[in-house]
Amino acid sequence: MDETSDRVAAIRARDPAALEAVVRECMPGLLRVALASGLPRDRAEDAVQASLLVFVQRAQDYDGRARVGSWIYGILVRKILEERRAAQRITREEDIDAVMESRFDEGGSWMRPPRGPGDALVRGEMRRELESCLEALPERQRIAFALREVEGLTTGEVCKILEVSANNLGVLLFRARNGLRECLEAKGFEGSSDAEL
Amino acid sequence: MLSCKEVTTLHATEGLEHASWRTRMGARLHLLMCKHCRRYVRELARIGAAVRALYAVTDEARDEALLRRVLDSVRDGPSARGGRTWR
Repeated sequence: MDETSDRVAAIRARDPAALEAVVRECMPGLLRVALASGLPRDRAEDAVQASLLVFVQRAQDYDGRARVGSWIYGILVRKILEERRAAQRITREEDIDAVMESRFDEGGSWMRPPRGPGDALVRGEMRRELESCLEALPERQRIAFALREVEGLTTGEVCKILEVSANNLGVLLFRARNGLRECLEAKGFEGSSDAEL
Repeated sequence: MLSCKEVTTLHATEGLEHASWRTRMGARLHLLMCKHCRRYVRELARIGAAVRALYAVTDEARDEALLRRVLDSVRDGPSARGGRTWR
């Protein structure tokens, strides 16, 4: 995934063809992350456009250490956080750690085993529920989840983009995943029968 | 022997990636024996897939319009340094 030195040089030299190639290559992923991070479509488009503009303006500063896409994702994440703050969104800070804690006994065995969300999720029947559970996630958890799970970036790359340690990223992902699972389960979606397991 | 709590935490945090061989084997063994943890791991995978599917839908006309707008704005816009433009 490393950039070739020729490409790094072309980007740094602000070669129009190289910059245009980067913009074309990165735009779909940036838009996906902006949407999956909870921005409405028009705000997501603005954030992507602004991020790419910053990239082009600062192309000469690109050092080639990270993939160029990573660098732009980092710019986008800062824009998303600004946007979400500007919109004064109130995110419910659910204490998912305590929720998870209550599911196990002292020996760490399941006291309340997981049930859902199950097959309905796979069949795409619970789009609205899924969206509302995503909305309920605190923004950093949601962004971490978007970069890792939706975009499929490596954990190392996501750590660099979010400027967090591997442990911190683990905590963000743990909370996001369990927050979503608990939320969907609470909405009454049962898993498939045990016979299938 | 790893507990259910340890196994699910390792999965949700992706801690297995950096875990010792012994821990990875322990987690795998636990999953073979524990249907609740198997279900948990499967549900996490399903949630990931469902969220990916949610954002995999693209609006080609809008995406193309955005790309054109971005390319136009970066070509014409003044740069942050020295007023240089794309061209």
